[in-house]
Amino acid sequence: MRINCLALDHQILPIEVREKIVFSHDQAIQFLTEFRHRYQIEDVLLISTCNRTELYILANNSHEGFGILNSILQTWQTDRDFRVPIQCAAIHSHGASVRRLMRIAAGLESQIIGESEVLGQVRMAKDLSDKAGATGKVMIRLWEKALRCGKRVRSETRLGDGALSVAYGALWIARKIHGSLKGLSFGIIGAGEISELVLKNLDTIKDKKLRILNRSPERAELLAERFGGIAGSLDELAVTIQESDVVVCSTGSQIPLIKKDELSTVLKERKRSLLLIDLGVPRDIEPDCGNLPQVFLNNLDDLARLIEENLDERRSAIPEALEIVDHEAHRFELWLNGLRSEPALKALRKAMEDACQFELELLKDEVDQETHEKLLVLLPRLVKRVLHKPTEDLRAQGGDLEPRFLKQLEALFQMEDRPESEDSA
Amino acid sequence: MLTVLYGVILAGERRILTGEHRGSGAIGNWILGTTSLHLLALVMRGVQVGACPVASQWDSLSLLAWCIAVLQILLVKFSGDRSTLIYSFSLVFLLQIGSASFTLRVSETSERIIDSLTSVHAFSALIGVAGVAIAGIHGALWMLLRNSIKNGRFGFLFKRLSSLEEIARLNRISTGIAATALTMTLLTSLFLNRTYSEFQQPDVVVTMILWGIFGCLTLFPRSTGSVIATRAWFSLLGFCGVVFIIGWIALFGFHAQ
Repeated sequence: MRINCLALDHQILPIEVREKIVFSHDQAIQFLTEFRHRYQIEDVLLISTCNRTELYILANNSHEGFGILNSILQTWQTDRDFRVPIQCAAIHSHGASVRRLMRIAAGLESQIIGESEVLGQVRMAKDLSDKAGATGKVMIRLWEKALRCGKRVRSETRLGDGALSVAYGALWIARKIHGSLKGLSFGIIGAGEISELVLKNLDTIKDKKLRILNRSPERAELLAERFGGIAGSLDELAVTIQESDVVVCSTGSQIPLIKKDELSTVLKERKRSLLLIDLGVPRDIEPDCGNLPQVFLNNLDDLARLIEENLDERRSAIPEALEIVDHEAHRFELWLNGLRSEPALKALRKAMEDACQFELELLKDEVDQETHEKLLVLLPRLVKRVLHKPTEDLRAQGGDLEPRFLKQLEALFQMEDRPESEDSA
Repeated sequence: MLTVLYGVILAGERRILTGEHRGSGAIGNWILGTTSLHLLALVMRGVQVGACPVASQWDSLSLLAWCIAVLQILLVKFSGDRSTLIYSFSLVFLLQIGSASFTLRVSETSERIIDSLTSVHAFSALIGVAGVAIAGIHGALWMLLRNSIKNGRFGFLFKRLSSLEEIARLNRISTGIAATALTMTLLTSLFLNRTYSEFQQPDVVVTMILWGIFGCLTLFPRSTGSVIATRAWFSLLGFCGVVFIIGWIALFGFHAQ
C-alpha cells in the first residue's frame, strides 16, 4: 500500500493557472465519486484552495499510484487548458506524500508560513471525501495524523505566532495599547483597498463603533453598508478623532490630513489614549503628532518592521515544526507497516491457537477437569507470549519486507486451507 | 533551598517567555508549592521567635520576598495575566539570595521578642513595601512598553507583555494595596509609643513618604493617559524607595527588631 500525491501549488504554478484548477465543493465531490468508480480506489483526498489543488490516493504500489496520478494530470491539463512546467515534480512518492500532507496542515507549505486557515481546508477535504464515499481506513488515518501534526505545530512552536499583514499588525498594536478591541471606536479615513482590508480584519470584533470617512462619501457609504458603520466626509475628521480609540488613515492625499496643532486642540477634550495608524504614502499624519503624550503614531515602515520580525520568528520555528512532522510521519509509517503485515500475523496467531486447541482436545480425557481448565487459560497466554516479539518485529519491519515474504508467511500458516494438490506438491 | 526553588521558577518563566515552552496562563503547582514551603519556613521561624518573624535580616528580607511573591500570585489570579510574573519573581529571587547571605540567629541570643501590635505593624509595613515594589515593576514595564510602541520598536517586551491597559490596571491595584497596608502601618505606629527620634530614622521617613505618594496615587482617577503616566513615574520613584529600605534592612536590620 503506497500513498502518492499530485501536488499543484503556488510553488510551481502562477495564480492564472491555479485558478483554472480550483474545484468547488460540488465539483470536488463529483470528481471524487467518478475517480472512486473508475480506479476502484477507496482512499482519496482532494485539497482544493486558492493556493493549491492536491490529490492524495492510496494505490497498491508506487508504480500504480504514479500511473493513475499521471493520467489524472494529463486529463486536467487537456480539460482545463494548462501545462505543468516539470510534470514529474508534481507527483510525489509515498514518503514525500505523507510528509507533504503533514507539512500542509502545519502551514509549512503555505504562502504565508504558519497561517492557520489551511487546517480548516484540510478538514474540509475529508468532508468532501466522506460525501463521495471515498474515505478508506488508511486515508482517514493519514488525515487524522496530519491534523494532529498541524495542531501540535501551532501549540508547541511559534510557527503561527505574530501578525503578518499590515492590517493585522495595526490591530495587534491596538491590542497592545487597549487590551481587548471589544467595544472600541474605530475611525477609518479613506475608502481604498487598504481601508477595505483593515475593515475585513475588524469584522470579527464585537460591539465596535465604526466611522468611515472619505473625500467622496459615496464610496465610504458603500463600505459602511458592507461592514456596518457610519459613513461621512473628511469634514467630520475632528469629531471622528475625538470619538475614536484607533484611527487608521489611508488616503491618496498629497498633504497631511492630521496636523499636530489641530490634533492637540481636538485632544484637549479627550482623556484616553489614541492610536493613529498611518498607512498612506505620502503620509496622511504629521510625524510630530506622535510626540503628544496620549498619542501613539505608527506608520507603514513601523508595521513592515513588525511583520519582518514576526516572519523571522516564524522562520526560526521551522526546524522545530519539521521535527514534529517527522515524528508524526514516522508514527503513521509504523501504523501502515503494521497494516501490511497484519494478514500474515493473523494467520500465524490462528495457526498457533488452532494447534493449542487441537492438543488440548487430545489431552481432555487424559487429565482431570481442573488441570484442563488451567491449561485452557495457560496455552493462549503462552501463545501470546511466544508471538509477542515476532509480532512487534514484523509490524515494525512491515514496510521493508518483501511482499512475497509476507504472502509466504501467510500461506505457511494456512496450510490446511490450501488445496490438496498444492500440499502434495 | 528556597532560593533554588525560586530560581527554578524563574527558569521556567523564562522558558515560557522565550517560547521554548507554552505556559497555561495559570499559576502552577511548583509556584504554589514553593510559596507554601516559604510560608511554612516563616511560620516556623515565627513560632521560634514568638511573633512576626522580623528578628533578623534573614527573616525580614525573606518575609518581604514572600509578601512580593504572594501579592504577585494574587494579581495573576485576579487578572489572568502572567506576563509580568517573571519580573516580580526576579526581585523575590534576589531578596531570597540576599536573605540567604545572612546567618539565621538562634533565639537564645540577643533577639528582641516583639509584641502582637508591633507584629501587625511590621507585617503591614512589609506588605506595603511589597505593594510598592510590585507597583514600581509594573510602572517601569508600562513605560518601557509605551516607549516601545511610540518609537515603533516591536521587540521582546512588545511581544511578551500583555497590554498597556492591563499593566496600568495591575499598577493601580498594587498601588491601592500598598497605600492601604502603609496606612495600617502608620495607624499601628500611633499606638506603639514611638519617640520622635524613632520617627526620624531614614527607613521610617522613606516609608512615610511612600505612604504619602501612594495614598495620593490611589485617590486619583484612572481614566486619563497622563494620570497613568504620572502613576507609573511615581511607582518607579516608589521602587527606588523600596531599594533604599531593602538596603537599610540589609545593613541595620528592621527597626521593629
